[in-house]
Amino acid sequence: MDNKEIFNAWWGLLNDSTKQWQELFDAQQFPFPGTGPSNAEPPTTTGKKNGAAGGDSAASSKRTHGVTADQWQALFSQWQERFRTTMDQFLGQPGAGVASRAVPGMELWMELGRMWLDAATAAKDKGPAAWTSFLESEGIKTATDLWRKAVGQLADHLASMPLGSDRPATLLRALASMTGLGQTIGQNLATPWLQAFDDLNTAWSDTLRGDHKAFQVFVHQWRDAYDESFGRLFRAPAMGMTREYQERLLRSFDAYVEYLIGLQEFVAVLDKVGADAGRRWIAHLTALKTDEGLPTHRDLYRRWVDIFETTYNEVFQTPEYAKLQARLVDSALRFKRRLDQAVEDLFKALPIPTDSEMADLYKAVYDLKKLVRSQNDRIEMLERQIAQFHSETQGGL
Amino acid sequence: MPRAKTIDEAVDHFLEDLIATNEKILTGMEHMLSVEEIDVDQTPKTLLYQEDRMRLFHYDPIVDKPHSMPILITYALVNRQYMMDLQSDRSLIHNLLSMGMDIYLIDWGYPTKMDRYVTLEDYILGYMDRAVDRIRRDSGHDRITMLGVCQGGTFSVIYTALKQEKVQNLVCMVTPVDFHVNDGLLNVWARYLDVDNIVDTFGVVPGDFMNLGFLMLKPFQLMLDKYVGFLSNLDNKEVVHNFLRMEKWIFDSPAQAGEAYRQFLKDMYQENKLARGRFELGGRKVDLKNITCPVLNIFGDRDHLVPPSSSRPLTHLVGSQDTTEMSFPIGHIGIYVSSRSQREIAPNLVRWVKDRSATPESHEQTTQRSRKKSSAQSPKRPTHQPKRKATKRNTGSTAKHTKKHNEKGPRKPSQKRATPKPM
Repeated sequence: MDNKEIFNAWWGLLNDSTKQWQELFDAQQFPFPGTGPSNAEPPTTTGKKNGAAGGDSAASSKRTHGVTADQWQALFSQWQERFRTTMDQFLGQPGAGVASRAVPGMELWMELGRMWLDAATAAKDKGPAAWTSFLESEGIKTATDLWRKAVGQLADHLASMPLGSDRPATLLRALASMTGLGQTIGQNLATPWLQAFDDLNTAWSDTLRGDHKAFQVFVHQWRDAYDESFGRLFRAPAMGMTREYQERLLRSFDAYVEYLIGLQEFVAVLDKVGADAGRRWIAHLTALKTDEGLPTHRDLYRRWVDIFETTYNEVFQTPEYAKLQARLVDSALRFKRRLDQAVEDLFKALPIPTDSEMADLYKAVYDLKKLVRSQNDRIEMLERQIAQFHSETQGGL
Repeated sequence: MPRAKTIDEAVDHFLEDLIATNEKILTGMEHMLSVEEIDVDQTPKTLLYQEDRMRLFHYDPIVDKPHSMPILITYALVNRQYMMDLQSDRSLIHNLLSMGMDIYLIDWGYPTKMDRYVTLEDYILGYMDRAVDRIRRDSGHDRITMLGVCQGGTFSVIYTALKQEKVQNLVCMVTPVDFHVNDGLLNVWARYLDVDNIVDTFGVVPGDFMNLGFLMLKPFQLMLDKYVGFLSNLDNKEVVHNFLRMEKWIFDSPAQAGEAYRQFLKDMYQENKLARGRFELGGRKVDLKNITCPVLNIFGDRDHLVPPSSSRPLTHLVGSQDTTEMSFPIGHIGIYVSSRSQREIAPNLVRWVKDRSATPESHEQTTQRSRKKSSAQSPKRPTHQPKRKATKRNTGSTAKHTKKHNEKGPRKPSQKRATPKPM
C-alpha cells in the first residue's frame, strides 16, 4: 500500500465520520447555532429502541435534543468498522494484530458505556424513585445477574476445594447477599446524577451541535450534581491517626474538581467568543468586494487577526469576563494550595525543611533585617549627635 | 503584493509567497544559529550601592561635562529596567547620557521566596530612599530629579509626596495614578482578583503568572501575529536580533514580592487609594498635594497597559505650580524603544530637566533672574489656572504646560560634601 492509498483510506474515514456526525447533529446548525432550525429532531436510527426512554412517549417528546444510546451505538459501530478496515490496510501484517485487539477493547468500553447509558435513561423519574428505576433498568439487571453468577461460581469453586470447611464459600455467599445494604450510600451518590441525567444529556447534545450556551448549562448542572453527591464525600470528615492527611488529600481532590469546573466555564466562554468572531469573519468574507481584484492572503490574514482580536477584546472588557477569569484563577490557586499542602505532608518525613517552615524562617530573617536597619539608623544618629556635642563642647572650651 | 483578478492567480500568489517565506526561514535559521548571546543592557555603568536585591547603578558619562543634576530612574517591579537600554541605537538611557545627563538607575533584581514579606514601605521608604540618599551624597545635590517609569513612576510619585525635600523635579513616564479607569484591561481585570488568595498561595508571585495575564491582553497579536511577522523578516539579521532582544525582555519577568504585590493591587487597582488621597505608607498619608516640585508627565496615547486616562490625572492631583504633560502617539513599549522616542522624547525630557535644574555654577544667576522676574510678576499667579497648550510640535507630540510658576526660581542645590545631611 503506497502513501497515496494510505492517505485516501484515512481521508475517507475522516470524511465518513464527519458526514455521520453532521447527520446526527443536524448539519444545518453546525457549527453556528441559530442559523438553522432550532429544534430539529435527531435523525432516527435503526435500533431496537426508539429514543432514550425506550419507547416512552412522554420522555421522547421531552428530549428533543438528547442523543439516545442507540444513536451513539450506531455512530460508533459505523466508525469502528471503517477504523478497523483502515487500520488493517494501514498497518499491514505487523500491526494488524494490534488493531484487531484494540477495536474489541473499544467495543468492550462501548458496551459498558451502553449499559450505564441504558440504566440512566431508564431512570425517568425525577424524584426519589429514580434510584429504584435505575436498579430495575435492563443494563443494571444484566450486570447484577452477571456479578451474582460470578460470585456464585467462585463460591461453588471454593466449596469444591479440599479446604476442610465450607465456611469460606458460605461467607462469600453471605457477603454477596449483603450488597443491598450498601445501596443506600450508592443511592445518595447516584440519585443527583440520575435526576440530572436528562438535562445533562440534552445540554451535552446541544453543545455538540454548536450551542455554546448549552455547554455552560451543562457545566452548571454537572457542578450541582457533583456538589450533592461526590462533593459531599470529599468534604466528609475522616477518622483515625491519619485523619488530617486524609482530609487534606480529599479536599485537594475536591479543589481540583472545582478548578476543572472553573476551567470548563472559562473555556466555554472563550469558545463562544471564538464562534462569534468566526461569524464576523464569514460576514466579512461574504461582503468582500472583488471588483478591484481579490484581496491578498496577507490582507486576509491581517483582517482575520483584527476581527478576532477585536471580538475577544470586546468581551475581555466586560466585568462578567473579569469575574469569570478571577473565578478561574481563584479555583486554580485553591487547588494549588491544597496540593502544596498534600505534598508537604508527604515530604514531612524527609530530613528537609518544608515550604511552610522556610516561610517562617524568611519571616524571621525579614524581621531581623528590619530591626538591624533601624538599630543602625539609631546608632548613626547617636554618633552624629555625639560628634556634634563634642564639637560644640570643644568650641566652647 | 498585487491583488489577484482570479482565484487561480490568488493561489499562485499564495504559493509564491509560501516559497519566499520558506526561503526566508531557511536563511533566517542561519541567523538564529549564529546568535550566541542576546546583548541587552550594554551601556557601561558602575555599581554604586547594593541592599538585598536592590542595586543602584551610576551610568558612566559619555560627554566631557555632564549636567550636574542627577536623575534617578526607577523602573517597575514587573519586567526589567533594561527596556530603556535594549539596544545601543534605541536606548533611551544612552540618548540621555549623550545629551549630557547624569543618570542613576535602580535595579530591583529578582525576588526569591525569601522576599515574600517585603512591602511597599520597604521598597519606597527603604531601598528607594536609601538610594536617593546615596545619590545625594555622591552628587553633592540636596535634591535630585526622579524619573519614574510605569509602576516605578507610581513609586516615584509616592516617594516625592513623602520626601519632597529631596526631590528637585519629578518626571513620570507611562505612570498609572488613577487606577479606576475602564479603558485598560488590567484595570478592569485586577478589580475582581482575590489578591489575598494569590499572595497566600504563591508567597512570591511568579513572573510567568503575570506574563499569562499580559499575553491575554492581546492574545492574537502577542501569541500569533508577532511570530508570523517575525517569520516574514527572518532573513533580516538586524530584525532577528532586535526581535530576540525584545523577546528576551518580555519574558524576563522577575517574581513579585508577595506583600508589596498585595498592597499595590489592593490599594491601587482595587481601591484606587492614591488618586483618592487615602493611601498611607509607613504610617503617613500620601497627599499628592505635597508634591510641589516641577512635574513632567509623559505618556503614550496608544498605551494599552497604562492608558492615558490613568496617567493624565497626575498633572491635576499634584500641588506643583509647574506641571507639563507630553503625550505621544505610541504605545507602552514604544515610549522606550520607538524611533519617535529616540527622536522626540529624550530631547524634550532633557530640555525640560535642564530648564528646571540649575547647575551649582549657574544657580546664583538663575536665582537672581527668577527673583527679578518674580517681583515683576506680582501678584502671584493663581494655583489652578486653566490648561494652556504651550507647543504643538510637528512631530506629533503634544506638550501641555498646565501650570507654571517661577516666582521662587530653582531651589539652591547644596555644595558637594563628603557626608550627607542628617535625615
